[in-house]
Amino acid sequence: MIRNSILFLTVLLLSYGFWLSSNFKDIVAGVSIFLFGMILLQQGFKSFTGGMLEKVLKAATNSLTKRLCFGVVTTMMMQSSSLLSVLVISFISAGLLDLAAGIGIIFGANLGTTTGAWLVAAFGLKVKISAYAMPMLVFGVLFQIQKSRNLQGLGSILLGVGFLFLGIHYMKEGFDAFKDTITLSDYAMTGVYGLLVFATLGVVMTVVIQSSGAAMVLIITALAAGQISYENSLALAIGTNIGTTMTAILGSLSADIRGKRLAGAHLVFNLFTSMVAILFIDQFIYSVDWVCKMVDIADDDYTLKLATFHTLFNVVGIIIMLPFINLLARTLERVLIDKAGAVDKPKFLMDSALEYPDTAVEAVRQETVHLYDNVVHIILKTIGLHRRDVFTNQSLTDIVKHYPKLPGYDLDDAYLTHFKGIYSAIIEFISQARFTWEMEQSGRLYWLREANLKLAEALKGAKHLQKNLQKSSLSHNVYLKQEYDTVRYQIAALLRDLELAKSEENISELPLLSQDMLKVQLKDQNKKMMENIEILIRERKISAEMGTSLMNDSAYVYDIQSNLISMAGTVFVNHEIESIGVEREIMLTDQELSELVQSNPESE
Amino acid sequence: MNKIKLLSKLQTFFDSDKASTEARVKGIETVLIKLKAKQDKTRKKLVQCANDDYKKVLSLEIEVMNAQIEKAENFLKDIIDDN
Repeated sequence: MIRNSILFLTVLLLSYGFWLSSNFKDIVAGVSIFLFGMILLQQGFKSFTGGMLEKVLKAATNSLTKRLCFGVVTTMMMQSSSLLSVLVISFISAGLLDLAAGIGIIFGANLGTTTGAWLVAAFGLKVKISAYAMPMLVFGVLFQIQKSRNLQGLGSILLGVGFLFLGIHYMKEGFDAFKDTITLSDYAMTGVYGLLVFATLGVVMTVVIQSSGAAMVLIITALAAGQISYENSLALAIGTNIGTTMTAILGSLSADIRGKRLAGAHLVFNLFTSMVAILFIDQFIYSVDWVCKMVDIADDDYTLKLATFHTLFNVVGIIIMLPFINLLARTLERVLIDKAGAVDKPKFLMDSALEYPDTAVEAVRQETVHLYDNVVHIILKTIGLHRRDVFTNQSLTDIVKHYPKLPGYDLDDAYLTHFKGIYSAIIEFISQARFTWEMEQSGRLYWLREANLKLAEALKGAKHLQKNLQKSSLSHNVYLKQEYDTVRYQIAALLRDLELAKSEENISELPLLSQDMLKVQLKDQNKKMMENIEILIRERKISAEMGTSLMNDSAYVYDIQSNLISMAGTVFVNHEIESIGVEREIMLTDQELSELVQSNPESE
Repeated sequence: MNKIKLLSKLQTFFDSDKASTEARVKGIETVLIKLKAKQDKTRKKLVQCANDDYKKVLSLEIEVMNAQIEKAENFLKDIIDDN
């Protein structure tokens, strides 16, 4: 309702402005064309770079300098930090980047946005920029109608730059013509009062336009036309820095907690930098004069001086804030806590990750590990044990003995709370990703989907097992109790082994072949259990009914374990290590494993 | 000219096949070395082990590795025979 009212009011005001002045129309049209150019430029980079940006980001995360440079260069090329923010959020969500590293990139992006002002001040206003725009638009359209995705991307980039230039041209023309009717510089204000009023104007302008880059271009063109004073333009530039965080905050409202934290970091950085700029404005003006003198910028070239100021106060902000990146990340993680409801939600799946194949695969893998952890929790609760005991060096026999009774556990509720939501989200995410791409990563996603199905199967097995397990814990038959304790021991032992495999995913030698040992142990255990049950029935220590139930349950245990091992083969093993292909060939088949168990004298 | 082009293409094709076979053989040999080293380590553990249950687990592990080594050697033999 409020949104619609604001939209209606904006349309009304703009229409009134267009009716009043054709120059105003030119300026607003310039801003609109400029914004449209930015959208096209981003689209072009997205389709043109494909997974390249993602690969560069992966390589650029190991040092702060690289992160800063990545932020600067990417934003400089795309002339917008929003696409980079989306990419950084998806990387943080996928666990490929921590918040502190993401903040480093965002700091770099902030500096990168200042290059736009340089481009306009040094190039856009000095030459007839529209002359460059026209051929770019023509070539852009020509490439756009080609079938090749790369050419289409290139076409979007050319169209984007063309429209940016055209937008700047219209803004410049509008302000130039405006001089004849109204002189905005008559409203110039000096001193602290002027600084605060124009900084606020800058905030409002950026929030309305929703782009600090476009707002800066508007300020520079107005300054070049002499419509605003140099001093006021500095205040407006500070305002754009604050205003752009409002855009980031509005954008993060629909994002998850990681997006909110990154937007928080952006807000803290820009607010701090702007405060520093306001408090030390005289020192900054002096520094700008000094820098301009050093690099031969004329004393009256105010547009270039404004660009220098914009860059300078962002550089100063980065220098001051850099040592506090980790502190800032920790504080944001403490202050902005995930207040998710009772139902467990996916932690790593972000829609933005769908655009970056490697990130999407890693996000699904991490989410599957998350789901596995929940399954482990549910299975341990079902067999009456706890993670805090099982994943230690304590003897499992002692742990099982320590918890003889199985407390009632609502597995159906646990399934809905800790499994169903994440599982559904993973399957939906994979379906969307596989629909979007025709790439090799689709194959990896297929196996990850299978791994998730195995987890669901393992839970189904636990559900079947639960009833008899609980009954047995209340039984007076010690032999039956003993057998069910063996069942609990076997499941816990496998979970302990898998926890080890999970943490050793990258260092385990021959990880796939090592799984053959787990499989053969399963078969061996199952064989021994069946033989033991037969003996117990024969010696009338348990009834035949008890025996058959035990046999069925033993099959469920086998299902749970083999499903978990199969899942681990996909999720815990690093499939990029060289030996994987050969290991897959050498791995023993189910029949070979069974033959090995049958022929093994130790298992007799 | 066209014949020369075709011949050179054919040669590259056959060479690439040979190169991939060599890479596969090298891969299997590397895994075999690792497997044998792992088996030796487990054998030493078995000799020093005093716990009967753990001894059984280690023996089974050695048996599994034996089967894997045998399978790898058969693969290797088949590849060499085919070429």
